[in-house]
Amino acid sequence: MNRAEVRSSVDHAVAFANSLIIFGWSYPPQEPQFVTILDGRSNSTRHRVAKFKSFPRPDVRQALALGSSAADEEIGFAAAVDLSALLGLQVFGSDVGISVESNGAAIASGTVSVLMAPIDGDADSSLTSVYLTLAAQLGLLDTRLSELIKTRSGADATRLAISHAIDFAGRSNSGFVVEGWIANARASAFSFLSTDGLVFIPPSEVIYKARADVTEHLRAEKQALLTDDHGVLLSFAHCLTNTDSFLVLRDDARSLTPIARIKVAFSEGRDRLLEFVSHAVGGGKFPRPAQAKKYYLPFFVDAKRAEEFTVNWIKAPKSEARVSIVVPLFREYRFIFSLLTMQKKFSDDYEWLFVSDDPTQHQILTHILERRSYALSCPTALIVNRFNYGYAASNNIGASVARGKTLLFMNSDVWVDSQAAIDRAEKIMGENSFQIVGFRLLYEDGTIQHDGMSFRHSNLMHNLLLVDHPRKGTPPDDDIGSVTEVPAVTGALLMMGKEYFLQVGQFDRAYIKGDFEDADLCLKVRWLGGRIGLYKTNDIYHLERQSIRLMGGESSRLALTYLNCITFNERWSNFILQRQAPGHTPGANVAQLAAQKKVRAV
Amino acid sequence: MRVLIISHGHPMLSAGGAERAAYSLFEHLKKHRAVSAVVFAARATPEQVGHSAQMGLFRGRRDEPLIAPPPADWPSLMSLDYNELYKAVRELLAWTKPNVVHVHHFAFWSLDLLEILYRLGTRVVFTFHEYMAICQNFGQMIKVDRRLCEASSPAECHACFPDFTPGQFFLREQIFRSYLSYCDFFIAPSRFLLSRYVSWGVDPDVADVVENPVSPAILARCAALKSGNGGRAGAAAELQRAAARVRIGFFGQINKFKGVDVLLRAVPLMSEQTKARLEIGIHGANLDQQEDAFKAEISSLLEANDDVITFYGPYENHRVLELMSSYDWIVVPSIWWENSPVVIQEAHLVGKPVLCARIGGMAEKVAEGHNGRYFEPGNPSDLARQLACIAEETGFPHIDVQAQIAAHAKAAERHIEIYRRIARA
Repeated sequence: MNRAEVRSSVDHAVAFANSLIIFGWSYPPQEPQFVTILDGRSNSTRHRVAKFKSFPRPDVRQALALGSSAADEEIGFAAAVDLSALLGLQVFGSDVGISVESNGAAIASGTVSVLMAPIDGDADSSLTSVYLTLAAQLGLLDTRLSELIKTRSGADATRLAISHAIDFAGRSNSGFVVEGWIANARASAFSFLSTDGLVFIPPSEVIYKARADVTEHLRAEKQALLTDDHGVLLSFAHCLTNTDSFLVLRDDARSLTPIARIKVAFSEGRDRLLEFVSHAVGGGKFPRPAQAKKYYLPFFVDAKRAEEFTVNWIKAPKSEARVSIVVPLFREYRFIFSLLTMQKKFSDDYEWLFVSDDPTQHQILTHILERRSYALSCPTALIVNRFNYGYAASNNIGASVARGKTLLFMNSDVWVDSQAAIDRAEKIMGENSFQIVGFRLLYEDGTIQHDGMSFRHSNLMHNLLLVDHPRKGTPPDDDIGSVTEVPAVTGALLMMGKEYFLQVGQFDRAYIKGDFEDADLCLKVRWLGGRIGLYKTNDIYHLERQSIRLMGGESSRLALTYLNCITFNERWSNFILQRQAPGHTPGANVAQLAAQKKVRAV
Repeated sequence: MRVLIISHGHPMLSAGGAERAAYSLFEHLKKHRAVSAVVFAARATPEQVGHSAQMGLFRGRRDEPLIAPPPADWPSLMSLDYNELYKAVRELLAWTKPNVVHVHHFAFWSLDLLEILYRLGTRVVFTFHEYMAICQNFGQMIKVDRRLCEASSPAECHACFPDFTPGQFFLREQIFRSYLSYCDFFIAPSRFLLSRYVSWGVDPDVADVVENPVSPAILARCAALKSGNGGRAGAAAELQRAAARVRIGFFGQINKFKGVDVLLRAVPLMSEQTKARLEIGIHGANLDQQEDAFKAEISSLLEANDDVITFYGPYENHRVLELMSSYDWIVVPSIWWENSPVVIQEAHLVGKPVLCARIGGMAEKVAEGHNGRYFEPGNPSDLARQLACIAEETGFPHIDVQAQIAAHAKAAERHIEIYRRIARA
């Protein structure tokens, strides 16, 4: 390659101690702000740069024959991204595409194999050491950690010189959690490093617990007593799947000294583990948001996979569809029977797109639908996701297949008594009064399940804003046929123009397993100046949480809601409370649209 | 007029009251001059069909096809292979060319049967035989703890079946409502049954109460038996007893809904004097198919009361009239509402009064003091009191058998009137 023709490059990336540090250069030099990573499973994700430093690259300057202008001297960059943001991505063991962005434009890109620095490893050790040393020199990494790797001093540490015990250890989806005790842990201010080098836990991030039993034990053993806080809870949130040990490091101002290497045996049972972690972290309450992300998130983030799906038209479309109904199906396949019964209430200019998001149900759904093809009264497709992608992705996939100008997102546990309300809502959409139209939904006993959503603070969840359903469980009024503007509507039955849906960036996959995406979508639309309407009808039922209740135990569900609530608040609490811009840009498309005002208020 | 009757079983292959009622109607229609052709299509297992095709003929009779439909999902009762069912029904209609299809049950067929018939342009009359659309507990409207159920609701049904959410019950109801809407007319053999369905949402303008007529052959035999007023002419030889004892007969399946356990528990509550005056015979099948605990309970009660009760086991339907004739009273102790029990029809046709629970279709078909007596449902003490009264009585209620026979013939006529009206509409 003739480097003189190249004006930028990503050269290397090193994963170590909670960061992925990307090294590269660009000419003219610009500040890296975002990094887009194309992982080993073809997932493309965009991440904010947590820290960056520029530095001179005389080699590049020479190759490019750039001369020696002092202003342009530092064309090299090192950009650090939080490893915790890469949960679920395949960034180790395969080539990774990296594109570095500044002010919305790519400034450097390249494909690299991410370097690692395991305590026992020697592959790439010299190259890794060089870059870790550079990162330390640039202030992106604790110098003491780079020294630790350079000297390999942790490889031989096998025994802790002081009393300790591991009481409980369990694997999450992407790492592991350990609970136990080390004599005088808080007073000793230990740090911890997973032996794959990926997770570093400084004393400030260790969760300590008072352990009176340990104090009694140490007193009986006549050992020194500096504190009652011997208990520790450690989250090694983003390790390699085979990592099962960590170093205990004595932390002083000048160095980190390995004093033990501890190997753990893992227990089974995710719900039990989550209950345990909840109790340990939150003491019976929800842990604070930062801790919750650290300790809960690894349990819920599955391996991210690029969306692959097949479309099987069971009843082929004849002409252009007016409305495309998108129904994700998860776990409970029997909803297909009520959905197909309901289909007969709709005219054939509605098309039905069932998105099977549960590989264990693909076969039975295919079987049922293909054997009921004669019974279908509307164009109907079964979209089969290769993996379980979740609520947001399934709806987005359905929307990508949809041929209708209008999309109607429908949960599988919704029952629509009559097409009339949907037709009316579509007309309202056509009049351009509202960008999203939701519907009043009833429970099976005729009381209100959804009559628009609002937001309220929750004491239980550290004063975060929760989605609220006003009037839930009360009898509905007879104000049918009217439309009112509301802060947000549920995605259980939500109508939106297809073009607009694609413009605003669809449902966001940042939320896990189906929660808050609807509120997020509504707020995106409102942020861009749009309006949300609620159509009042008493003909539509939502048998809420019939599928989500199948997702796991109570601990899992609560933790999941809390995590999604945290993500939602990080983005939208400022906007909701003060009508300010979101705390976190909810996607490049939306940011660009907002800037260009292509989507505007009506 | 051409009529197709669709049943969920053939009475020669499965011994249920609904199958018998459908077949009896078929026999009436065959004899009626207004009906040019009638076909009785019964659901059967592939083994009962007997060859590799989905459809065959019962004993080679061209007007009695057997069909093995694909299985249906439970509890939605929607077909797991609609296309195959559609093909079978379309071929059945192409062959029989009915003006009216009278469906006697969707069990085994699936609810899709009703939609397919509608879609193929036929007029559909549907007979309710129990409360299947309303109640998931075998359509009995009785709670799983055996309390009577007055009305369904998703939350209450969930209490009976905790594995199903209220929402799933809501959807079940919507599915049933949707599919029943494909019918042109509903027949209920009792006012009580119809009232339950009207309360549930069936349009009373397209529904009526019409009794299931028993078969013409039975009516002819009843006329020949000339029994009544408690006479015992034609009694089976093995049931001869001392004339001094009042004889009470139970006829029906032995299961947890039919209340035979209530009858058995009543016996120990009777005085020795009453016991000496009574003789109770139990004729019933399917005890061997019940849950172990129920079987053990019944066996134990039978053994404990063998001084009064004799258990005769299963009986052949064609012998029921003769068997009933040997008794003075017939007892129907069901703990569920019932509809229009065949056993009450048969008892009255042989002139026997009926002692039954004071609920539902039983109470409707028995007039206290006229052709029977009531006791409180599920209450052995009250049943024992009523049995003691019967034991002390010197005479038995008079029942006009000829009027009963005429009523059944009229019920068959009424069916034909409905077919005419529906076919014209």
